[in-house]
Amino acid sequence: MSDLLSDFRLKVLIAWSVLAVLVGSSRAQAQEALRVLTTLPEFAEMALDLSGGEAGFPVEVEHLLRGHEDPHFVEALPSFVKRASRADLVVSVGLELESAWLTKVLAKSGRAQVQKGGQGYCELGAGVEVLQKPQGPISRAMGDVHASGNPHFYLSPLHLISAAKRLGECLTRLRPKSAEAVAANVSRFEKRMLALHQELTRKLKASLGRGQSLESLRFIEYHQDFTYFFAAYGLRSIGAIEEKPGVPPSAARIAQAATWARAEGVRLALAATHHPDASMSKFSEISGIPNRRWPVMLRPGDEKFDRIEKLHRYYIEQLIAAIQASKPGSTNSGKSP
Amino acid sequence: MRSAARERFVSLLPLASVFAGALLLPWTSQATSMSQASSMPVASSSDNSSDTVARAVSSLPIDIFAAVDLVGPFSMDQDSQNRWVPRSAEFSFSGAIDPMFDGALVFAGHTESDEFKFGLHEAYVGSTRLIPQSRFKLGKFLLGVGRLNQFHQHDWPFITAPKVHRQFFNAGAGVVQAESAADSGVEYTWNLPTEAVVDLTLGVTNGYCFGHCHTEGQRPIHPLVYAHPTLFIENETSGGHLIGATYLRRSDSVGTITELVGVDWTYKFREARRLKWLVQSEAYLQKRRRSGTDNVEQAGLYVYPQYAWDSSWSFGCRLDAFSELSLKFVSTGERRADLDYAIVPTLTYRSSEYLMFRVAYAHEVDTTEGVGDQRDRQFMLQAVYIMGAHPAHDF
Amino acid sequence: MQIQSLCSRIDQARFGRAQRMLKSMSLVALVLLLGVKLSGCGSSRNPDREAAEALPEDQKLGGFKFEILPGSQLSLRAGKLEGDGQIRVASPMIKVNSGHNFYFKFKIEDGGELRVQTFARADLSGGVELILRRPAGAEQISVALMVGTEERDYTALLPRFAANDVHELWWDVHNNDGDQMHTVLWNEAQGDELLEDLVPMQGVGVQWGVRLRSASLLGLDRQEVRDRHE
Repeated sequence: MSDLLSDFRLKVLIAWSVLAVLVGSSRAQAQEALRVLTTLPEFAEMALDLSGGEAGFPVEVEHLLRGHEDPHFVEALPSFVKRASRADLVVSVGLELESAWLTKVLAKSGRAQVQKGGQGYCELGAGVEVLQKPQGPISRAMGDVHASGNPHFYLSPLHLISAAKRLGECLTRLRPKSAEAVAANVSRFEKRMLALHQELTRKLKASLGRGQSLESLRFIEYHQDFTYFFAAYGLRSIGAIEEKPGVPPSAARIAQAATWARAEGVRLALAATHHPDASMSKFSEISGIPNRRWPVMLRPGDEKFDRIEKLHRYYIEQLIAAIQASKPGSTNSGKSP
Repeated sequence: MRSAARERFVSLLPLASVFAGALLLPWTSQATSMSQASSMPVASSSDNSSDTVARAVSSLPIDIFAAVDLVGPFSMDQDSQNRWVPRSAEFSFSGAIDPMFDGALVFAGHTESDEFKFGLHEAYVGSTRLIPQSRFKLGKFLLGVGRLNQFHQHDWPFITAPKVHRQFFNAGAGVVQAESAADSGVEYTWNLPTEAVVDLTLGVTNGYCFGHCHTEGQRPIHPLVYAHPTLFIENETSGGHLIGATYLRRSDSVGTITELVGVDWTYKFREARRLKWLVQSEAYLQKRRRSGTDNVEQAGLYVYPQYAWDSSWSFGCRLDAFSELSLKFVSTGERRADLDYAIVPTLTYRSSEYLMFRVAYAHEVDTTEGVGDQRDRQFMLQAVYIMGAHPAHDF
Repeated sequence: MQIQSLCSRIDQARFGRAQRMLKSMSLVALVLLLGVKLSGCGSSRNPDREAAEALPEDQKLGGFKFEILPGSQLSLRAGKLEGDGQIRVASPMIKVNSGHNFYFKFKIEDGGELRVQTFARADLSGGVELILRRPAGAEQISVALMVGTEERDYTALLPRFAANDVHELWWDVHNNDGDQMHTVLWNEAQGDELLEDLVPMQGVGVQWGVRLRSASLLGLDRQEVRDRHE
């Protein structure tokens, strides 16, 4: 009898242990952090925002780029492959911005769910209204044309709202129980971006002189990185110093662009920090128009540019300073830090 | 015969066990997630957009490209081969076959002995999605050893292969034609579950012919086996150090065993479009033994530093060295010093990612104790252009 | 919840050490390279040449001194070596993995044979061997290659070698073509390529020589390969 009892107790003990392990492991699974890997740092900030608060599911967010790269030309580093191999969700710009390297990174990761078409693949460009879509046939003779349109939507707070909605859909796909909370976070992010947009629009308008309007201000870019930024604030870029996208301008082209910009009354020439300083200096020297080289992504680790608001405020402050300090055709050619 | 078959089986056991272990990993979860993915289509970036030619091309399921490599060697010492030739014309198709597998097919033609000959370079099926943290290929492919051997000639940072590569990976090919070694078999790469970025590549191939092959070759005693672990150390900008080690073992039909060990190091420092610094280096030691003969030991290395002052122009200078370490004087058996070295400055202009021009000067000297130095000096010109969708490059 | 920035993951100290180590390695490699070049390769000492110089001055064919191996009955008169026996040329190849072109001018008597042995051991075994044979009463010389222990006959592929004539042949032996040996044979001075083949063996040594049986050797030379297949 005692043997039977002990045998019975042993069975009960085993049964409870198995149950405890099963319950414990399922709980552990439910609490396992969602590993989000973004290409741009701003998307990492968005992912944190959308998964926090009431949604409150654990998330580990990494970003591949650090903010000083040209997102078109990035090495497909083995360390990127490793991060992708552990990710549950990969968030990218899309619109062929990262096609030169991200495809290779994902392909080598050995992680099925983050491949294009997988549950863990999220292109935010699919959810925004795209500007500058090329019409007609495209060939390499036209330069590095993005066939799906200008991909640099992440520099507009209004387009970031659409991107956040798209990201919310991707997060909800993987954490369906948090759908409502994620939607609330998206709504909160939208308000945040609208507030930022209103604040910066106010500041810009306040900096204008009598009889001036935002539409009357003219700018020129080295490469059309700032199209969405200009569109968000009603500003106007006359075009690019590059004759063809992705093709470094020749000396003749720089001179031509300088003459054109001067004739158009351009106030400021803008370039990304990764664009060649020599070309911008030459342009300013010929045209007398000052130039600024701005970061085009957040730079975590740099307090000046580690949040979306900070980067956009920096842009507007720089614009205001340039508008107030320079007149059309002046020789002030100060550069950004 | 039985003992030979047993020996062959035993020699393959370690590799087979690695493959079996990898296959037993819980890949069913991967399959599950893929099936879920297939039932939950993700909206594409071309929603709401009208069809353009570019979008049609970008939605093709495979990458198709043609790469043409034109070379003009002009030797100051041996002018019999001085002329422009289309060194190679390569047609490549690669992409997803289905949700689980990818495929690649590469045809290439080469000019050799005044003839342009076409052949199959690579044809393999593989997957990066089937086994977690892993990828594999099955078919004919460039062997995943070393650094240079993993790239096609038109993707090399210089015009011709260093002597160590010619001797160990493409013996018999001329200076201009020497390319990467390819063979048919299976290769598996595992991204190790470590904090450090470590990959391990293992391969087994037929080994019928290794190097410059005019025919299908002969059945070897053992298949060719190789291993190539790598470690990547990232730096502050978009770049880092990729360090690898190589072990390769092969045999031929008459019992010659060749073992090759080596290290490779690649360093990149990138600033936007400009690959500001590239340093690429490989060093190898090869031992060849056959019963009844002396062992042959050879070693070689190259170092290639390259600097780019903008996104179009770059300059590099390669230093090659190669030596037969086991060389002896026949009459006395004493060691005989031997060193072949070369200095190859190279200037490159890139019009874009798809077109490149290069000029180089190769100063090669073969020195052996007791005989006069043999010198070969040649200028080389190269033009490479790519038409179509070239897949993204590895690091 | 935390952002794990790439910057924070990099162990700067480890990276700095690795970078310094790799820079040092490349410098060391360069110094070693230059050191090896400066240290010994310019020497003109050559025991093999000294051994050849010790041979009789008149024991020479085509500028190459040779040793007559034991058991041979050969005579050399007016630049013509004839009889039965074997010679080893006293100018071995430098490297086993190399390629050369061998020239020989010969005549074979009825029932005789000439074997050219290249990339062989000291006893001229284990090498790449070309066999030219005139069977008794035959009108044509047969040509064969030793492949391991078997003879691979090429007679049917070649133009007729009249049995009674003096012939000249140039023979490329590429003992450095991967795992196979690539060989090309040209006839006469016309440069016609007679045969080209790959055989699954390689010569194992650096010696070369000729075995004669009722044959005469009138000329001998060794040069760089003619077929460079660039």
